[in-house]
Amino acid sequence: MEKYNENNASEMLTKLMDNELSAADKEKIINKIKSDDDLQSEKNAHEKIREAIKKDEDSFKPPIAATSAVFGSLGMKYPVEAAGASFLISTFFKKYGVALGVLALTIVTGLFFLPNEKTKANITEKGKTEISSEQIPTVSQSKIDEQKSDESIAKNNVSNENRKQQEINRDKDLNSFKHNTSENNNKLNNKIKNIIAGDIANKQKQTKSVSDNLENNKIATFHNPFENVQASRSMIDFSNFNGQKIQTAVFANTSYRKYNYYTDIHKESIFNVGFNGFNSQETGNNGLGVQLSLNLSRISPKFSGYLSQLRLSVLSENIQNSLGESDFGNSRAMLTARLNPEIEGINLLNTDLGRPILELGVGNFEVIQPVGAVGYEFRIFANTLLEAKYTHFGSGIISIGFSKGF
Amino acid sequence: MTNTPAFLLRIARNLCVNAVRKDRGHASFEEYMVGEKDPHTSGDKELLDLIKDAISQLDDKYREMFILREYDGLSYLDIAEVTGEPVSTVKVRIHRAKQKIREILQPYIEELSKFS
Repeated sequence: MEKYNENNASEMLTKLMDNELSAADKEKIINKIKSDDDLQSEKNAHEKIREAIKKDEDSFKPPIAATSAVFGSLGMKYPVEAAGASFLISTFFKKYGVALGVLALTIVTGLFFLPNEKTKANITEKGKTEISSEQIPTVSQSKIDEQKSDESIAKNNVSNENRKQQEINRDKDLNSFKHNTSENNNKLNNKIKNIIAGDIANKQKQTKSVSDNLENNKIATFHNPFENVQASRSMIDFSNFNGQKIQTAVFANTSYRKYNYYTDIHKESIFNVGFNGFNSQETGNNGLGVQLSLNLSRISPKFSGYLSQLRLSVLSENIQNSLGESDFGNSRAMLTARLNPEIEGINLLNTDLGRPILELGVGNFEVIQPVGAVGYEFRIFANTLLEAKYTHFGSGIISIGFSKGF
Repeated sequence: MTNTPAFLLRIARNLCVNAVRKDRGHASFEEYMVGEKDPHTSGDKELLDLIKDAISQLDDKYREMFILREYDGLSYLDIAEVTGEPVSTVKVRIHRAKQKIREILQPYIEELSKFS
């Protein structure tokens, strides 16, 4: 048996109404109902529903003959048949007993008070003997009749007019009552319809919001690295990492970001792959890089590796030899972690000013050394971002890039 | 089985389930109820219509439990016996069915109590 506690009060209420509770739990939930208005209203609603169903049930009772036939076809005897006529009689009296009793009482009482022929004769006889005709002033019978007739006509006229007026008034009242009732019913119906329509609209809104949330969760859940691709990014780096002179290396970097349309938050994808190509005008080197990042909620570890001085001849006839001849002097690798808070960005005067960038890590630029980056991510348009950052790695790299959602 | 009504209901239920499986295009619960005579007042009738609407919106598994409980007056144990489901499942389904129906009808009941 489930025990009552504050969290399952509603469930216990259902059981209470279905008489499925122990005495102790029953007492607890009854006390709770007394002190809790919501629970009380819930109980009332359940009672109203049950009452309506009960009335509906009572209105549909199959005839005994039909029930008996069903029992008969199953080879069983319907309990009413088994009980015989006495059951039917008791049912009849149960149903109509009160009405019959009242009727019988009325008849007996009526008979008791009604004067019979013998009583009438006694009264007439008594009148004759006790009152003499001389004591009564005599008026001619025709005059009495005339007078009576006039009075009666006048009375009839008045009563007819009154009756007519009463009937007219009654009709008026009835019409006004009908009109009012129908108007009230219409008002009530309209009100209920509006409420129900509103409720349905709310429910639809809730359903939509739930499905939207589900959709959001789907975005946030790792299924497939490319499922969340929402934006590509192109970066241009202006770097002086190769010595004293500032040189420009153009990185064509394509990576992926996701954009949550519901929270309006741009984030690195859970699993991010980017490819870089660069050309250093200073050294004349071409480079190829790969960038992998993994978004772990608020921190995105990122690995970037670049190989410079790769020659196209690598892909020609003798791969072994070409690789052997390659100079990896300008190769570098970085492992950084980007703080990636799930915030909407800094909002000022209803303008999203973007969010700061902070990255920390290590890299091998000739020697292993710490890497740090600070920058800012601006929201240019609704889902277009401009990222500018300075990375301290070697002699420093300034990079600018933008990403666009699609 | 010692409970005769539950036994009969189980037979009837299985026959109904078979019939529904054989032909799903027949009368819905709502249509079945529409054919009944109507001795109720307009308020009762309206509430009943809404209850029937609400019942028809329930999933089959919830609707069955609700009808067995509220229309046929079976206990949780009997319902478990009729449907072949564990009593714990019966309890949960009946509660959910009732909650759902109450949620649907709550605005109407609130309005009704204002006028009564």
